[in-house]
Amino acid sequence: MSGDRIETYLSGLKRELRIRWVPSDRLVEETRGHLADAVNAAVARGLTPDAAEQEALSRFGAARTVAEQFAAERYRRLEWIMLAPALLVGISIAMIDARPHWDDTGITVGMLLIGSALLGLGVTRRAWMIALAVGVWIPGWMVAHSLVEKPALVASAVPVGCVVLAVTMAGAYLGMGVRRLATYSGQRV
Amino acid sequence: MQGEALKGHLDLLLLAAVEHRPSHGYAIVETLRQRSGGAFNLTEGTLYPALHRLEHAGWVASSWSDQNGRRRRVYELTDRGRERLAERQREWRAFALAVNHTVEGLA
Repeated sequence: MSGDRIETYLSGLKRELRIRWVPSDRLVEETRGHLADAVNAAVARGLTPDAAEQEALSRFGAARTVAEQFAAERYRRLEWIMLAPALLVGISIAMIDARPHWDDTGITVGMLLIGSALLGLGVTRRAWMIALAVGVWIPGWMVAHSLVEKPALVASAVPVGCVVLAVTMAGAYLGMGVRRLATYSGQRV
Repeated sequence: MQGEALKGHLDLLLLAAVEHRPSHGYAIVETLRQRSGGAFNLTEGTLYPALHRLEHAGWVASSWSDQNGRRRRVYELTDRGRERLAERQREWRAFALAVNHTVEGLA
């Protein structure tokens, strides 16, 4: 039995890391060394090998918790980097939608949904940031335009903004969900 | 003392733990535990993301080392890390002094 529990834990950690697209080889190897040291130290204190393994794993923390921390550190920067293309997509769609003769709401909604979904594929959490970056421009432009041209119409930006953000939220979370599902399915095969 | 209470100070603690000699992960945990008299009882696995972040920032460097036939990733302070540690130590001393004065009601 000795060692089996640790190998099972390491397999679980590897899976949890890969689900989150975190390279796992180095981390798993470091964890293996850490747990071996912890078990040896506990045995030296008088614990049985079985109890030592149990203590080492308990102190190291649940595989999921550890993997989430790694993912949070790793993607903290990527999430901000993804904002640049998201802003660009949002501004582009708003410019198309603002053209004087543009009257195809369906295509605008489609672009918002597809754009957000594609960008959502690039993140593993906080898809709402993508949704906001894409969706804020159409209502933003409406407010700015109304203030200059027809102040009475400023309020009309509110329902439009709600619809636009609902669409981009749906798209961004759909994209992130597809990515997570695809990664998770890949791990189970 | 649990992880939540140490948030914000973890970088300083880790840099201080590898200040005098290169150490692998388990040794760093033991150093923190011993120096704190057992008060810093962290979830050990969560130290590694922080160590990797410090490495990414250029404050520590790491390399594989074979110790008695066992492979360990050893972390050591870089020159930039030493500067960062000195800076964080100054900040910490000023902060601790201010808190002490406030809590103890010192003038």
